[in-house]
Amino acid sequence: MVHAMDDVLILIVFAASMLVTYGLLVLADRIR
Amino acid sequence: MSANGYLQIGLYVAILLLAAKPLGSYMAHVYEGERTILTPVFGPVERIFYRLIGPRATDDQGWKAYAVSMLVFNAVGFLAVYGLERMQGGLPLNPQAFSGVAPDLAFNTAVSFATNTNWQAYVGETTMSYVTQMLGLAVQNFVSAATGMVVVVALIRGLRARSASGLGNFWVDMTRTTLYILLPLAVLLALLQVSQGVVQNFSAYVPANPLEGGSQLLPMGPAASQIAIKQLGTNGGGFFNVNSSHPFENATGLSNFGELLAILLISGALCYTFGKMVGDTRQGWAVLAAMTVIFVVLLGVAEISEQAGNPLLTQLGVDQVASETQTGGNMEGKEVRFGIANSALWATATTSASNGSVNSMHDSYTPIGGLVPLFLMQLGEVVFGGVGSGLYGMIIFVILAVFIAGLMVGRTPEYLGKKIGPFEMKMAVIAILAPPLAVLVGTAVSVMAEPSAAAIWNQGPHGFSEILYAFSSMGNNNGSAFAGYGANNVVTNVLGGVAMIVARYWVAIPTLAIAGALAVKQPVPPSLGTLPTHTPLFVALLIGTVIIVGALTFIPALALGPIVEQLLLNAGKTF
Repeated sequence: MVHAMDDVLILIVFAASMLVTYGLLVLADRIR
Repeated sequence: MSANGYLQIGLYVAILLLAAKPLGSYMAHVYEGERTILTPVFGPVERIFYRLIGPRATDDQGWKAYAVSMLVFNAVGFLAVYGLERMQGGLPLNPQAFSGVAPDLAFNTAVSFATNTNWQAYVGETTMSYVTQMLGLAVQNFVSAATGMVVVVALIRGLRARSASGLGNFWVDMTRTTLYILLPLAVLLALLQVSQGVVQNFSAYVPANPLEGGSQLLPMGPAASQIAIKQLGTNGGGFFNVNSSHPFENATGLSNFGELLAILLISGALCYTFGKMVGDTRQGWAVLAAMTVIFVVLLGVAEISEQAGNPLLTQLGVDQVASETQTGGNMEGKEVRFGIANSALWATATTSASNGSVNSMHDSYTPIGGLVPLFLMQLGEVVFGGVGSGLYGMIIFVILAVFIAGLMVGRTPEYLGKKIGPFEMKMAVIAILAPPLAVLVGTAVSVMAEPSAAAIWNQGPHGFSEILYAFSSMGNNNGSAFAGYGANNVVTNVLGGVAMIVARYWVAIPTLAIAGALAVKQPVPPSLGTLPTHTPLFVALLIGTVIIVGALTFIPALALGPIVEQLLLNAGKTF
């Protein structure tokens, strides 16, 4: 149960990091 | 250093440069979609793969589609490795019955292998099952390396394009890179390793009785196949904890030479591929020359420093002079069978490339000897660098160098006939600043946060160097460790994972954006005001740009670590 919660937290951190990275892609496209 | 040492280093550099043209030429054929000597073998496999993914999946892509494909592919790779690590306890090929890897460590490791970093906060032989090593880590060794290579190919296509919008197709490039380049080279290197005594089996660990008494468990596993691609793909993640210091991972002088050569082989040859694909091989040679000069100079610093040894030990009567019976110098943390020459050569090669494998312990190097790998990583892994990523990082520096030259003479900068505009410069600056941001913020947070600060195993400036090295490694996708730092803590695992994502994609995405922007531009013919980018003058300008940016960014941090440590050593205090 404790580890399942940790898994969720870790996957949120990963998803957030990739989302911010995708944001860079969108930003680059906008400022062009 | 002995004549033998100089000979081995000279041979290494010579073979590396001689291999650049044939291998680079072959890779250019692969990326142009031409028939190669391996087409009869891999052609049918390639066609089956394209049929499976559908006809639209092989269409020409613009930079955004190419970048999104890369992100999606790498995210799926992360999830696969994370899942394997967490569930390995219930999966086959686990003779030592290892349980699932803890979530924060599994996150760090999965990001590490998906981003071609291969930072290892775990001990391979006591943590990972064979199925995790093979299906998770070794597969990522191939595809993360291929990812770096296809990004630079997309950039090359952008540079040579004439008012086009497409950069090729990510899935086709990945398939051809893996099948035609990485797989055959990895098979050849794995066979060489096995012939030298590197293990390749599924056996349970073997008990042994050492001469000094007690008992020992000798780790086994499918090591050779993973080691080959770990070197060729500039991954660097060891099958065993001590990486290529382990006799089962690097058995002989010949296996050492083969692994060493593999570290820089593809990155060096890609420079020629670049020149050939843009129709002017002098451009590729110029970039390779800049990389080689920086590499050789810093290699000299490391070799001299390690051969000089620790002066405090000399005062205690320790003989550190090279002779017929010993290599002399600082042999702490080094294998006697490799000596000073091959250890310092490996340390320089593995950090100039974003490889990160080791055959000696960098933590035990002299302060200046340790500064060399640290600084090479901080230069942004552009001196050879990771396969593909090193070259696109260096081309970003080329763009910065022509911009600076343009400012000096008051003309619009251009490269290979393409005008460099404000958008390209904005993207280049993001790509150059993102890794230092990850390194310096990660280091600053970690020296203040309790779990990570408590994991430093050395005092004073050497202790600071431990954390600076860790984040310089993760924040530039290198993966090597100073190894005097308990990196398996929640702060370092999570912060380091994020740093690796920033270092990889915040450089790759701006690179693809530059490729997309340049692709649509019509090339302009060279004029009197065009700066030639294949001359020794430009090579010097490029070297200066790389060194100055690296020095301005990192000298304050280095002053707190290895530089002050060297000054204290001169004053009689060692750490």
